[in-house]
Amino acid sequence: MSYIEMRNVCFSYEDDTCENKAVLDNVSLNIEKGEFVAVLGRNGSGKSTLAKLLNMILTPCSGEIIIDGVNICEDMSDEAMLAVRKKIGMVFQNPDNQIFATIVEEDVAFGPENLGVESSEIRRRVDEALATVDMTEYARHAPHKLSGGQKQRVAIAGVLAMDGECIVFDESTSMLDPRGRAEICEVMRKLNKEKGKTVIHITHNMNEAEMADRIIVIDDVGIRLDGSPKEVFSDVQTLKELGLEAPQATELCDMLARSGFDIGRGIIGEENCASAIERAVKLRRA
Amino acid sequence: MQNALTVENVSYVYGEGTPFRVLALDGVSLNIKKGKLTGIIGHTGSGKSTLLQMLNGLVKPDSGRILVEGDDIYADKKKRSKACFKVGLVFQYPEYQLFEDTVKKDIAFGPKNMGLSPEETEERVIQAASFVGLDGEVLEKSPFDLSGGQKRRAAIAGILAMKPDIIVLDEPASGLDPIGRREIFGGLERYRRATGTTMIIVSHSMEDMARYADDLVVFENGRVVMQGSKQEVFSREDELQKIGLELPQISRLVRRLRKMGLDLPSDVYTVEDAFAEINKLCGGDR
Repeated sequence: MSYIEMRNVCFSYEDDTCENKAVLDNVSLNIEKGEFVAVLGRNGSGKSTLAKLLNMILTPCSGEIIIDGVNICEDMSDEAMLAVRKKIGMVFQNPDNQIFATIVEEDVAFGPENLGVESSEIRRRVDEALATVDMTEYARHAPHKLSGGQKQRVAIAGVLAMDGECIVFDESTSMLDPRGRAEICEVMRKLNKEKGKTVIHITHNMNEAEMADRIIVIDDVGIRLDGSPKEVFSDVQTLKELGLEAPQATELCDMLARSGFDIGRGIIGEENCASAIERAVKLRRA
Repeated sequence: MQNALTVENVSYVYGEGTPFRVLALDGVSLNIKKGKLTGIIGHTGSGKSTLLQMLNGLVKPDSGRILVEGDDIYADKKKRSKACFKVGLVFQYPEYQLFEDTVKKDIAFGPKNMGLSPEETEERVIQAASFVGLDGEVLEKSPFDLSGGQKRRAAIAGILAMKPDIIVLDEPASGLDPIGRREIFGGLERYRRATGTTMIIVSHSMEDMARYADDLVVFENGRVVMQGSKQEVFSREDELQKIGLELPQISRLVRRLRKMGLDLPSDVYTVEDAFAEINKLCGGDR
């Protein structure tokens, strides 16, 4: 059984029966524990809705969602619900919308405090979480004085302090400057590769999506592409039809391939693209 | 080349006399060329937004002058209050400022307040809306029924309809998917070509700046560290990298290919140009 299983999930903001204006229509999806998944799709395609269904901010009108063996669409006790919400943490788009305490470490401690965790354990978790996101030296700073990237890292620490297993980043990099983006991407990589967390990253940035193990592309019909970055980005035409684009280097390789250059499909990463192009140019000139 | 706007040795301090004193702008001087699109890049907190607010009379510099067409806009009260008609400012996430009950009325708000006749206002609204790709029934809808990208374009049309000499936009495409970004920039480009309006755009997207800007200004810690044509600024790759700004992936790829011995030009900023150059390279030998 997968860590996250969505079976025939429908959701509509308009009505409870999903008869009209379904944002998600019959979506089925499995995500394994420890996976790093990027979710792409146009504005309004239902990416954020999907994210909010995972930790019960929203509930589907039909279908089943199973998190770590627990069906969260059935009636459940408050404790069971809390247990699921603890597992799946979310980091939202706007860094200013999710931090409210006046001191960084108090903000990070808010979650475990409300779970009734013992204070020495809270101390331990907060210190560890801040160390993981490289914000230890800011523990006693005021959050509003931090940069966007730093605020997002504090929000991530808040999820870690709850002992979250899976972190959903809902366009958490889109309001940041290039430095902030790089910081958050590095934290994501670390959480996934070193701490074994499941990472779900919703983004419009194709270079960020390329970091993931797997990319899911959704549109109003449902899931349109699902595969490794190599597989998904080898289908540049379908991506275009869906209103998305491949990373620039990959797109160039694709254009060259279609115009008759002897170059493979789905080449990702600047270095790989460069060597593939060099080879293809030499072949053409020979 | 004539300058549409000149910033002369401008400084600004937030929180003077408090422990939180921040020197936001430190002796900034720059020239914006008439009819060109100038991109302003730099990290959050580097002083970009403070400068933008000075350009249309919102924030008075502590020292230095802002000259629009050679005229100091802070010389007296009257000039300062007129500045907002000469220089149109589109804030970040301008869709949050939509308020009327139809898109048409919202776009008409600016021109109406300029004291234009209803006929003239109507004409300008239709014209501005068509530049950003909004027409017909969309204009009669409530702005709150539009998609995110449409809302953004409606908000921008509200400024275009005032026909300012200079339009300043803060991150006009942030948070939008690739098609949404193209629609925004495409609309602005069409408007600029048709009217010759000077534009200043703040953006974190080096891809967008590479594609659309003529000139670039780079901010770091309240100072202008580089200014010049896009080609000049992008040729200083190492310095940009030092302040955490990377060239677009396609430019990096072409530079890598040059190092590998392919005879490509150093100033390639779009995928289409890279494709054309590679074809030229191969065609020349046959």
